[in-house]
Amino acid sequence: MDPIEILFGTESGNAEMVADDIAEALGRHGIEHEVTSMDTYDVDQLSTVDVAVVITSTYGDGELPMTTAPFHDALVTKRPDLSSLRFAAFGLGDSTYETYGNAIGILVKTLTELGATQIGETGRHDASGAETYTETALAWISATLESADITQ
Amino acid sequence: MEQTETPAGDDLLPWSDPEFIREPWPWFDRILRDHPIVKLSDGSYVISKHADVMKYAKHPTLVSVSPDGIGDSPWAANLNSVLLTEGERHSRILRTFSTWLTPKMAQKWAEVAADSARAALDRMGPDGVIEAHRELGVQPAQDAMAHVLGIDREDGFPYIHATNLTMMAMGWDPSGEEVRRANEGFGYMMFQAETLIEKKRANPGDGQLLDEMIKAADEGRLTERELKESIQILWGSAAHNPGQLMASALVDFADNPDVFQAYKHDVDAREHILNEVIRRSLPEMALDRYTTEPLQIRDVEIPPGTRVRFILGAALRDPEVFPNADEFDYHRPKEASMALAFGLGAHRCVGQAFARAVGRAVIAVLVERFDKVEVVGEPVWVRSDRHRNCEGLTVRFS
Repeated sequence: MDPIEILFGTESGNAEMVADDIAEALGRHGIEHEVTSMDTYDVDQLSTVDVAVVITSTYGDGELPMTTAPFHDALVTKRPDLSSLRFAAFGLGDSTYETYGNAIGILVKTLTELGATQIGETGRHDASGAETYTETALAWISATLESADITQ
Repeated sequence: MEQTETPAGDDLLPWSDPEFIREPWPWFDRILRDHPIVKLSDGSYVISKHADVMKYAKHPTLVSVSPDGIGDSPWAANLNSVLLTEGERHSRILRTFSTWLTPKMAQKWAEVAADSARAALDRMGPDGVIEAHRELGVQPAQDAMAHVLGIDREDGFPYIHATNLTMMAMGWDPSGEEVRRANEGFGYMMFQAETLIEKKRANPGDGQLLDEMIKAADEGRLTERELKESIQILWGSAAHNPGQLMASALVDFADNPDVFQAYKHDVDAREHILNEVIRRSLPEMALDRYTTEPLQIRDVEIPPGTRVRFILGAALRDPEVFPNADEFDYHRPKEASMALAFGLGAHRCVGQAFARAVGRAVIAVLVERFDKVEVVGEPVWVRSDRHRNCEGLTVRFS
């Protein structure tokens, strides 16, 4: 299996920390992976990727943060064929907003429309909740790896 | 039985009472218990409950500047900065520097802070006495920011004093003298910022943050005024709240020696201890916002154009969330809400990761070398109804 592509979109750097946590967790399972910021990633490459993990926070009132927005725009305009892509999704948000975790929802919808298949449940960290980013991310990646058929 | 009159809102919060300024806790406890929404005689509202602050302080219809304009407040000096802009303009300015202050970047900068603290401790005499606010609170943060910006190191203390002067004009009802001195504070910091920018323009190309922001201005992504105000804030207040955080931490450690020991020996406890320090340090006691549309909080509809003060210092001692609030208790449930001390919504502190990383790094240096800290003499606190900061704390390490 090709290395898992971990893609993160962030505004204040928290999604990057989550990406690093997830990378470390995959490393502990002996799974090869790469971490890339969404704004530097060429979406055409996605049609050749087996498995990706997409991570984004939500900015302001349900918007895409500054490094997710160009990635999403590119998906929507270039429309790569993602029918052979499986992806797991993790979102950072704040439940005291009505638009809680909106950005990951937007990404999941677009990736699915382009033919990709989601693995497991969308993970969500709640900034108003009691868990740290790391706690939530590690629990989620553990559950996702178990539920998916990701070979080592 | 005679019914006691409901106290007037103004009596519940005596902003200029020196005792209130020194220790507002009994007044906060009272409004938390009995008056979750206080209406003042000038039509303003005050919110204190943790749940209400968390929910409403970041309401998208609230703004930082009164819709009637800022008038002659000294804080007009920052009208073109992230502090007081909104929406797309706010995002545009913020994005010219926010990537330099992420948690990951902050870890790098914190190494500079740790080295600065170590050097200060190396200079300390055998009596173990040190001016800790300056040497362990202010200077490490100032030196870290000098590194971020790509500028020469400087004594941070004049900036602390200048920022404290400006903070006085954020009080509920600043005096003419306080306003004058706030303008002085801004004048000093703006002059320093302009000098730094001019110097860097004469020697560009190091790729550090000041160089990058000047490039942004030259390319039209920032106006010149936005650049100056951003640098005035980044450099001028780099160490202001980190200094308060460290002073507060050291007083907490002096009063609770077992906590210093716990930080030293129990690595898993460190983040919890730091969060409790943050909860109690309270450099910014309150956020003042203005409604632009009717806002419903509990059973009150607040009209547009109204000032609303959200008291973080009260929310962070709400007994429903933080029982025994006066105690230093690092076993409180890990609530992200302790980050409330750094504000929330669009105007939350962009320096949070920086402040935490610097605090973590310096405290780690202290526990590496010492077992105990004691306060020597009286600390010098600078306080208003709006902020709490420090201008002197001498300690003895052993």
